[in-house]
Amino acid sequence: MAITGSLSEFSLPELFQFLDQGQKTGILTIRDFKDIQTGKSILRHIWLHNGRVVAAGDRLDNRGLARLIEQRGWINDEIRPEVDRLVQANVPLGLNLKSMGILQPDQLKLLFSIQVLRQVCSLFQVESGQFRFDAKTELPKAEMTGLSLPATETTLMGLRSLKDWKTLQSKLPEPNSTLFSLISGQPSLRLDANESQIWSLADGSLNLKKMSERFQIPIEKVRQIAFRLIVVGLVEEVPDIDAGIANSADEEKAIAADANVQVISKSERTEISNSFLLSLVGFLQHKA
Amino acid sequence: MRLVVAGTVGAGKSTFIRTVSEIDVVDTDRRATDETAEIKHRTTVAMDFGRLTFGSNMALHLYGTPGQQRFDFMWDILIRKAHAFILLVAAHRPHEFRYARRILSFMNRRVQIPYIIGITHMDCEGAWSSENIKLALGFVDEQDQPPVIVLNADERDTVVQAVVVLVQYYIQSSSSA
Repeated sequence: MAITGSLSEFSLPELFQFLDQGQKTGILTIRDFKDIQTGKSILRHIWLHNGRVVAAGDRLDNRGLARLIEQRGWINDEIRPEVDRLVQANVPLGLNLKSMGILQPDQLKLLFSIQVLRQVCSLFQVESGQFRFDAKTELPKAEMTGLSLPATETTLMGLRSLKDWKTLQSKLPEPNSTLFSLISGQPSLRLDANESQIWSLADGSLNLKKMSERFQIPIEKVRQIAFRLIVVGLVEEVPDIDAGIANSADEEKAIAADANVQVISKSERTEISNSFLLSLVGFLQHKA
Repeated sequence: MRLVVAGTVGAGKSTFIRTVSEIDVVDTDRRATDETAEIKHRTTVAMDFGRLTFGSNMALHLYGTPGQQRFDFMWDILIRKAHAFILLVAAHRPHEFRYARRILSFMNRRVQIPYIIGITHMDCEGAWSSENIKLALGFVDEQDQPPVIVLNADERDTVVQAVVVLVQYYIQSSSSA
């Protein structure tokens, strides 16, 4: 079943996190009949394999990558028939061209950067638009360089260069929220200086507002950095709520084995007997 | 026994409690005056309370949290003494999934009690599948997931079934603890 929706409801970073974590394979189509910023319509196809972005383009005729290679002058008349033949093959075009010595690894990297990173990263600027993800679509080998990048890493790159965050404003974590790490040890992603600072406090000890004060970084920027760390799956946002309930002797908070977890002790709630629970289930199943 | 019904705006928390409670639900619903009014006319500002009595001195108490973020201090008050909770998520409102995840993160950091996910509005246009909703809520590991149940908060049978699943999960969790 296809997943469809509006980017204003389920943003591209959220979508990429979903596709990455679910290790989804298929084609994501982004369509905006009139982009508010540019006034132009947008149509992009992004192909994913196990949650990794493998290709992108604005056409479905299997000629996008070949055209890019041609534009760079890396195909001459002599090898054009061979390339046309490889477009039909069931192996990523880029890999075939590399194995034949027509393209070098650096050229493939450049092609991937132009074809995927540039096109996908620009989509984070799109203010409105519809998305559709069709799973299990056959991947277009003719559009693939053979390189790939996890969808969340693409997000990280796209959001780092995002200037206008208006579209994502409602998605940003709250200033009074704290962050907790979701991984053990250090992230495999390379974080920039500010991201590393915020990451260092992903233990719930300070909320974003206090992080902002400590690091002298504007709160809006801290929220954006925290959002980046959230959508790449490094941290989770936990609201820093204190209802101001005084702790009495029997309401002491237990310190969980994991020091990061602030657990209310069992003594706060009454014990329930097994007979009570079994009576309740029986009542619900037969009489309620 | 105290159960908390948490969830996003319009997921069906008040209706859930009203459907299963034997008493008129004690609610703190007020006319919605903000963006919530686009979804429904009235919204819970403090909590809902319902009850099910099933013997002498034996009762199940149900507490519903407010869905709106500005009343989130009530989560803390209600969850402290809860034995278990159900998180209701509306399947057709993907823009609320992140907020549902935020509620879940808070509850799980504050208390370690059994919980289940209740998915509502599955029959609405644009509803996501249970599998995809679980993923959007951050449940990646198949072996480490709470029970998920699809329900209609207006239908007594499905609401009762959800409570049964929650209580049984509580029993199972207590015996393995």
